[in-house]
Amino acid sequence: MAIRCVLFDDHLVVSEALRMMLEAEDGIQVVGECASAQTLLDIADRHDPDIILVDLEIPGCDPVESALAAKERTSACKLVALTAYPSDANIARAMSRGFVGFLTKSEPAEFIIEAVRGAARGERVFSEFVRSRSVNAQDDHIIETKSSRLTRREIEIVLFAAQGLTTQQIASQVSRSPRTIENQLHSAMKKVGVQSRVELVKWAIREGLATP
Amino acid sequence: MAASHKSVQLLHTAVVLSPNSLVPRTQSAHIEPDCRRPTPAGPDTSCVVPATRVLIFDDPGVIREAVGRLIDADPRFVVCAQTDDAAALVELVAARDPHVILCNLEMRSCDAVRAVTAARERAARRGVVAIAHALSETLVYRARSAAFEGLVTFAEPAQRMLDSIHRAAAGESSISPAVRRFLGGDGVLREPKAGRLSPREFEVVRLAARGHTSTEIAKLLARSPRTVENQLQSAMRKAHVNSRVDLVRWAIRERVAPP
Repeated sequence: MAIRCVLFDDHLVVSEALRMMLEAEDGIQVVGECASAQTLLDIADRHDPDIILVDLEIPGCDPVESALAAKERTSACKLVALTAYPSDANIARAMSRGFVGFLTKSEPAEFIIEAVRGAARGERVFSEFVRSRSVNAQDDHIIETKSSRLTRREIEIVLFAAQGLTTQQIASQVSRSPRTIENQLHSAMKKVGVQSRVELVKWAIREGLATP
Repeated sequence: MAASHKSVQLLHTAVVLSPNSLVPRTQSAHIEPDCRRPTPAGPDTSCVVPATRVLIFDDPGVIREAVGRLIDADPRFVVCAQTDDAAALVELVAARDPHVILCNLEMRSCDAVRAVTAARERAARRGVVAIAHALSETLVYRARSAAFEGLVTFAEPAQRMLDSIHRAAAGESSISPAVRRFLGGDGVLREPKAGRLSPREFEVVRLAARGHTSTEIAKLLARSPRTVENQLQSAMRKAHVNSRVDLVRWAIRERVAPP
């Protein structure tokens, strides 16, 4: 029996291209493409898919919750995230909500195809990038995310920095010395694994903590 | 001399042995075998239609590969090369002679508009279709100012991208509905609110948004750190922001750089 696969992605060029790629494979059948939560439910009802590939940046819905709702209507569907911007928060959330895999769009086609087969066999499938950042190699389970390692005060400072405030401005805002602010920013950078303030701000934007 | 003769011979052999190829021997020395697409019907060589050669300029990964297969599946086109390297692009344009370059405006590795413009200057005129996940005033303004024939988004149906490629090959431009809202009511390109960054300012902003320090940018672009600082200051004025962090946020909002 072919693996029945659904593509949940709001970018039509991407889902049409992925459909053609997967359909060319023996034993994989794409039973639906959709860009909205409602259509996803309809497809789940109609086709009882084995795998849903979920893009995590779909406007107008929460892709994780939408995919979970669709999964509940199937007999044994597995959810795999496929995204261009893997954030720690997204990885942790998807994995804690029962996704069996997390893949990035920078992987070659062959990797994605094998991951679909692996997930259908009951394996957990991760891009190396994801595995190295957030997955415990021993048991393939998610470990604490970087944002959870920041203290409450550090997060507060990062958010001010992400609004474009200077160290001086942050210091007067929270009534601490500029030196304390600098130390907290450096501590945050170290925990997040970046080298500069700009990268720290970009991290906060990627994680959905701040808006660009 | 001997070497080039040999390569032509090898090319002949490859063409003749290929079971799918209907390309006559006389043409095969001039045209790469994989750049001609035989139609499924009969062995008559008159049914060989030269396909439009498409070069894909995008970051590597499943999307580039899958989009490549989608384009290849259209009988009008054949993908002749894929790269994300600005230097390789110039060489590939010369070697593979694409009719159309499909470039992603949001590439991580380089400024696609600049790289494609440079490649176009060195070779005869090629059609260019730019594609992006979502558009911004800055992206639209840059693609239109660079006189790219087509501009589409990944959010639109694939047919629109394919038709834009087809028209670009014929030298015709096409504007997708997603682009139209960035133009004035008369269909004329509007100047972005942020003002027009010079190509040099743009490059500096792009690198700053990738997290490089001014010293690193100076080294990468072989400019003095002072020049880089001045260009950043000038870009900040044009973008109406006061700090480097705000400049980077602006660049992310305008889809000049990924977060």
